[in-house]
Amino acid sequence: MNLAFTQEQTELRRTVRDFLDKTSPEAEVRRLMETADGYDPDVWRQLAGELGIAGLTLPEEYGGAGCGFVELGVVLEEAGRSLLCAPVLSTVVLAASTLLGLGDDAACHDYLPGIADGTTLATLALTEAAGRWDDADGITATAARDGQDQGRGWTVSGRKAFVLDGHTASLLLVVARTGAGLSVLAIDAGAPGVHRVPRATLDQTRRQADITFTAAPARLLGEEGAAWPVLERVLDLAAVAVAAEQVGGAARVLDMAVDYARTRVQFGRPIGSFQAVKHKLADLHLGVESARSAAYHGLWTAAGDLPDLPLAASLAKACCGDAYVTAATENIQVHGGIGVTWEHPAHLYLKRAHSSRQLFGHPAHHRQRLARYVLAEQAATASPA
Amino acid sequence: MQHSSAPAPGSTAGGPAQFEGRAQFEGRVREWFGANAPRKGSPEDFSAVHVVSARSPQEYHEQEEHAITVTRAWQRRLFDAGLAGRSWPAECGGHGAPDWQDEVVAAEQARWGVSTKMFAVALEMVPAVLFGHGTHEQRVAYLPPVLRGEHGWCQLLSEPGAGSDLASVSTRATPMDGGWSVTGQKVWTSNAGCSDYALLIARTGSREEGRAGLSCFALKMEQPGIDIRPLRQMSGAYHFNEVFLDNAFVPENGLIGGLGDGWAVLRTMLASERAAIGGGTSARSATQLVGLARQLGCSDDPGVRDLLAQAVIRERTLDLLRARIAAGHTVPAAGPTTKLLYSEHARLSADAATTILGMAVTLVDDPQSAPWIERLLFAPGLRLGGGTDEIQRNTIAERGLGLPR
Repeated sequence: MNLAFTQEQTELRRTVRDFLDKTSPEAEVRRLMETADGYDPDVWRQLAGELGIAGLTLPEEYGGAGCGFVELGVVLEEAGRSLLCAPVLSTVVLAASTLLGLGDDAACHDYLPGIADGTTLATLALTEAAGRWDDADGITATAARDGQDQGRGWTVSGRKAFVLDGHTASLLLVVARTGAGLSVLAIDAGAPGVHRVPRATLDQTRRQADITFTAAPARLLGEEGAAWPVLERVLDLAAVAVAAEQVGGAARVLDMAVDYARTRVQFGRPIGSFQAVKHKLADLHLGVESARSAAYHGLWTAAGDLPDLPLAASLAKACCGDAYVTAATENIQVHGGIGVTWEHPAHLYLKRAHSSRQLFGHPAHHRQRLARYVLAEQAATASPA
Repeated sequence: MQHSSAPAPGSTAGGPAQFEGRAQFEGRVREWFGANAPRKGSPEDFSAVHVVSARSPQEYHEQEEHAITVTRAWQRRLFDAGLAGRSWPAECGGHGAPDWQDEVVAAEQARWGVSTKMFAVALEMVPAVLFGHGTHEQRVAYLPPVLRGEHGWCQLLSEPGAGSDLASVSTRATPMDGGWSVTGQKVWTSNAGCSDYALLIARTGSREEGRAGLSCFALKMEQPGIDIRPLRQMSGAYHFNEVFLDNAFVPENGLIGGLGDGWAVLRTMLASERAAIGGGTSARSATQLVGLARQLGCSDDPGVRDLLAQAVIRERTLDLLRARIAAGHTVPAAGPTTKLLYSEHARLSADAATTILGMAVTLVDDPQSAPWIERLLFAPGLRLGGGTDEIQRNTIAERGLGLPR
C-alpha cells in the first residue's frame, strides 16, 4: 500500500483548508453552536456546490465527483481541524454510503442527486436508547407492510436515539426489523408519524435528535431483511471517516498547545522550555502521528475496497479516538487557567473529542474487535499441528 | 541513505543489468534467497544466533565469536552474489543502484530470519559517517572490506562522565608523529571484542570548547594500548564493554571530517543509529504475543484481548508510520519519533507478556517464558541506546515542534 497523496489530493486539501479558514473560523463555530439548526445552509450550499464535497465519493451518474475515500478523508481531516459545523458525517458518510451499499438503483436515482447537490440532508437512524452501534439483535423498531401504494408501501414504528443531525435531515434512513430480519427504510422527515426531539449535545458543533416513529409511511430500500451486512460495512466506513476527522482535531490542538508553550512566559522563560512541558508535547506528537498513520491506512483500505476493512477500521477508530481525547485533554493542561474558560476554544475540541470517541464504537470495543480479527487471522495461517 | 557518489558500472560481473525494475529485482532476490538462504532448523540456520546470556565472559565471548563468524560468512555470500551494498558506489564495493534495492534485500533477509545485525555499525553507521564527512580515500579504504564481511566496526562514544551529555567527552587525542595518541575510558561499547575498527569520538581541543573541541577518528582495535573489559548486563549477557585507551594510535589519515568537526559527525552517526533502531524490522512482538495467548488458552479473556489489541495497534501504526515516511509524508523529527515508538512498544509488549504468562514469568527455565524474559530484560537498554527516551523527547520537542531550548 503506497500511502502517498496525489497532487490533486494535496490541492484538494489546500482548497478545503482555505475555504474553511474563511467560513469556519472560531467565531463562526461559536455563532452556529447557538443556533437551532447548528449549521449554516449557505456554507453547506457552497461546500456541496462550489467544492463538490457532498457528492465527492458519489458516482458521476448520481451527480457526484466519483472520487474515492482518500479524498473524503482529506476533507474530514480539515473539517475536524476547524470544527466545521455541517452535516458531513450524517449526509455524506452515513446516508450516502448506506444508499450505495444497499444497491437499490431506483432509490439511488431518487435520493443521491439531491445529496450531491446539497439540497437533501440525510442521516442514518440506527441506534436506539442503549446507544449501541454493533448490536443488531438489540434493534426493536419494526417495519410492516401497510397495503397502500399497490402493496409496496411500509410503515415504521419505534424509537431511535443519538441520530446525528436527526433534527435537520429531511431524509431519514431508518433501520427496522421485519420477520425477515433488519431492513433500511427511507422516511420523509416531514411525514405523519415522525416526531423529532433535538437533544442538548455535549458537543454543540454536532447535533443529535431522538426520533419517534408511529406507523410512519416508509419506503423499503433494497432487499427486505438483508440490511445488516451492508450496515456493518457502512459503520466501518464511518469509523474510518470519523478517525480522519479526529486526526484533524488532534493535530490542531497539538498545534495550539505548541504555539502557547512557545509564547507563554512564566518564571522568566517560555513554558515550552521546561522539559515537563516538552515531554508532554513530544508524547502528543507520537500519538498524533500514530493516529494519522492508522487513519490514512483506513482511508486507503476503504478507497481500495480491500477485504480487511473491518480490521483497518477498528485499528483507526481505536487509535484515533484515544489520541484525540488525550491531545485535547493535555492541550487544556498546557494552557493552564485560560484553558478551562468558556472563551478559550480548548473545550470545544475536548467536547468534540469525547463525543466523537463514542461514535461507531468506543476504542475499547474496537480493541476487542481487533483482537478477534487478529486471533482469527493467526488461527487461519497457523501451520496444522 | 543518500550517497552522492559516482554512478554505477554497467553491470556486475555475471549479474543482471543495472536499473532493473523493482518487481524484477525482487524476483531475482527472492530466487537467490530461495536457493541460498539457510533453511530454518538446518545446521546452517543462524536465525537464532544472537547472544542472550552466559555464565562467564569467556562463554559469552565464544558465543559472540560464533555469531560474528556466521555473520561474516553470510555477508560474504551476499557480496559474492552482488546483493551487498546495492546503493553504495562502485568504488566502495557497491553497485550504485537506487536505495530501495537495499530495502528489498533487507526485507528478504528479515523474511528468512537471517541477519547481519552483528555488523549494524559497519553496514549502517560507518557509511553514513563516511559519505557525510569522510574523504574519498577513506571510503575506498574502509567500505569495501565491510561489504565483503571482513571488517566489523564498533562505536567508542560514551564515557563514565559522558552519557547523554556526549559533549563532555574527555578521552583525549594528542597529536604525535604521523598521527594521534588516544588516552581515556569508553563505555557501553557493543561488540568491542570482535570488531576490527571503531568510530571514536575524542577531545582534540580544550574542555572549555565543549562540542567544538571534539573530533572523530577511525581507530584500529587490535593494537597495544586498548584494553577491553566486558560488562555484565541484567540479562546475564556481556553485550557491552568498557574500553580503556592508553596511548592507542590513530594514523593521520584516520581523522574523519575536519579537526573539531566531531560533533557534526556524531550527529550523523546518532541519526543513523536511531534510524537503524527505530527503522529496523520490528521484532513482531505483537504477533508473538497473540501466539502466546493462543498457546496458553487465555485468548478469550477480554482483558488479555485488550492487551493484544494494544500491542497490535502499536506495532501496526509504527509500520504504517514508517510507510508514510517512505512515501514522502512530512513527519517532524521522524527519526526520534520512530525510535521512541519502537522502544515504547518493546517495553509495553514485554510487560503485557508478563501479565499473560502469570507465575510462569518467574521461572527463566520455563521454555514459554524464557523468550519473554529476554525481551523484558532487553527493553530497558532499548530505551537508552541511540539516545535515551528523554533525549528523544527533547529532540522531538525542540527540532520537531520548534520549542525553545
